[in-house]
Amino acid sequence: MKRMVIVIVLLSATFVPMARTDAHGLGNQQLEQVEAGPYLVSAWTDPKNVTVEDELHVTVSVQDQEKDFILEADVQINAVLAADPTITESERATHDNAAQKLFYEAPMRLNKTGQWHMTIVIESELGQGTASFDLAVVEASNNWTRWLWPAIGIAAVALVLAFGMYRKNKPQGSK
Amino acid sequence: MDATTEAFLKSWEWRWDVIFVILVCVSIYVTGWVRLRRMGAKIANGWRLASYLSGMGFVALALLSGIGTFESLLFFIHMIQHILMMMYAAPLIMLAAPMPIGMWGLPRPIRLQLAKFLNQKSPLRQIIVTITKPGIIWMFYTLNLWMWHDAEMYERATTHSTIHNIQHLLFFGTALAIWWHTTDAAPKFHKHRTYGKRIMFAAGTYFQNLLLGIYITMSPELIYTYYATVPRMWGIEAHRDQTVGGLIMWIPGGMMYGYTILILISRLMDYSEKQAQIKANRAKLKRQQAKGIAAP
Repeated sequence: MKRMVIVIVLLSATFVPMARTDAHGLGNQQLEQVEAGPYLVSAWTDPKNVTVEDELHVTVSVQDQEKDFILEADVQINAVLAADPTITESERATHDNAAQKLFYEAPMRLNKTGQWHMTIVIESELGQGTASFDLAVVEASNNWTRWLWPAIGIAAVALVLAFGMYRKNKPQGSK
Repeated sequence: MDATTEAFLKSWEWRWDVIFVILVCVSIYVTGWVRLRRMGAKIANGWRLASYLSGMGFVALALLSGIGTFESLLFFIHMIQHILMMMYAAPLIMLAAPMPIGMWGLPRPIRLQLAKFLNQKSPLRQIIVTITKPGIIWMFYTLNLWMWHDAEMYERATTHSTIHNIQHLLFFGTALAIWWHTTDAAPKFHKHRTYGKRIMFAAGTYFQNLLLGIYITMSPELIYTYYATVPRMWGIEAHRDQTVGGLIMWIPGGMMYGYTILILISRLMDYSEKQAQIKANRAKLKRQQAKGIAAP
């Protein structure tokens, strides 16, 4: 049992640095094939309701006018707080961050509540294009589901530890 | 290879929740298999291990590869994902006798406790037997499959990760239950499942799957409008994508039931032949005994 637990923990730990959960959905669609210079741009944000505590994922699809995907572009996401334009955030979107390697994705943190103006700047051999949308960021909610997976994980570890302790402290020969 | 295909093949998503569950299940099964093998138990044979690992491999392929990541862009990829889990992974896992072998992979106190919970007189077993009767399982499987293919439910699942995970768990769970009855895998809690009953069961499951596949394929309208809002890969328009998805559900999706029915019919014929042979031998022996040729 002990050996099995160690093997599972070690194997799982191997995957932790590159792992993520629940990211197969794209999230909220913000732009649907919008013309941006020579490009057609689609964009999604995840999670659906963004709070100041969340890591925001912005996913961008870049196509040319023939709807072929452009995979060699430089994609930058700029965020400006509408109420105070001196507060800005900027992140480069890459294929490495995206689950679907056709798209570009940027993880961001928007630490102030309010309306943010998001601008996507795309550059490639075809030229430059920009597209934008607005995104509301709200106070962190008391959403219990965010603690669900960590709670299950902690409960599982506690169960294994308790079982181990019980086995260790059990008098020899007792059944 | 074109850039889109290359991106598709590279789009593996290392979801720790899926990887962890697969590793735990494989570790328990392999430990049990090794223990039983050392004891010389016939159940722990090579093909069962291969079957279990292939089943788990299909689960990993369906959930972690490009099939898992691009299901939100193409309907037919989503159908392939469901078929891999329900028509390939589930029967392969059930054929590997996961319950008896897996139990031997658990620590002795847990195994004994579990055996106590599942003995013939235990209330837990009675509940399991009641809620997993073939008719109930068939009904639940069918309702579940049709419910998630309703346009609104489908869109909710596609755009909401938690609902999507629940959908996959229900699909996989009900598929395991369906294949439990069809393959007659252990634990054999229910009354003897004859070949005839298993053929009828598989045919019933095949039929409803066929109807859903035909309905989606033949639909003149786009049922799953979500796909019209996402960029189209390989130039496949949303309606054509839906038709291909329906066809995949109709033909390869039903093929596994078709093969199963053929295998069961062939087994039934073998069984009937053997029974007839035994009957003939008994009659011959009786005649010989009557003539005083054979010893009683």
